[in-house]
Amino acid sequence: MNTLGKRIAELRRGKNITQDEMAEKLNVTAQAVSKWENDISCPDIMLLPKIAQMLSVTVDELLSDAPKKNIEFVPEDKRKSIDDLMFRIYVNSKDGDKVKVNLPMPLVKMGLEMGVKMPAVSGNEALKGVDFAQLITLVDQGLIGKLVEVESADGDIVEIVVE
Amino acid sequence: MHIKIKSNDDKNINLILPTSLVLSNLTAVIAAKAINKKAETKECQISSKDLCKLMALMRKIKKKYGRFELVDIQSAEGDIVKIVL
Repeated sequence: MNTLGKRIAELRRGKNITQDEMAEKLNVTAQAVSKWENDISCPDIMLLPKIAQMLSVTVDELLSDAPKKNIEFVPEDKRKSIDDLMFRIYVNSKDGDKVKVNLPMPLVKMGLEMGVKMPAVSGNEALKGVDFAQLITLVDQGLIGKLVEVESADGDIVEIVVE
Repeated sequence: MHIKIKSNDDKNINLILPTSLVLSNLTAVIAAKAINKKAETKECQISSKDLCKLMALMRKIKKKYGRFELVDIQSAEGDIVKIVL
């Protein structure tokens, strides 16, 4: 299960903020941030808006276990380098199995250049029809968020989120 | 690298491997041979040269992100497989 601590850690790393920097901005100790990220304790409720703002998400997204839902266009001046983005594949099978694969974008790009097939990575046939090269082009043009949601004939749901 | 396998019948495997060893070029060559031997289709095959390139990139990623969860699988029966770089 993706906990609040894990989400804070993932988002913080994604923004290249250190625990010390985060602690300083929030007026807490680095140990406190470490405890949040390791699910030993939780941040004070009054700090949540500040944390969410720092990590460029809403409080709802910070607290929600579900992957980021909305597709978003990021203008060129605010756009992160494609090498700093994360490619997340979520597979929820009808039987209740859950697969989550996190791939940094440079790894996806290199894999595609080498001809590695993504169904082999995620283990799901529903991904066969997805044009990954096209997805990379969309990301290059500034689209991030949930780019793909496929429901296979077997009832498996596959989502691809770039963030 | 940390590979954690937790089964619902309390049989757990916790493997902690040195990342530098797992992501070395020697491992890439051995792994490529094993993958190509076991791969059922050509789509799953990979050359050792390509795998070495991927390993080099993975080493960079490890440096950049530190602890990084690559795969998280949870089965309906409660089995858990996690691979953390």
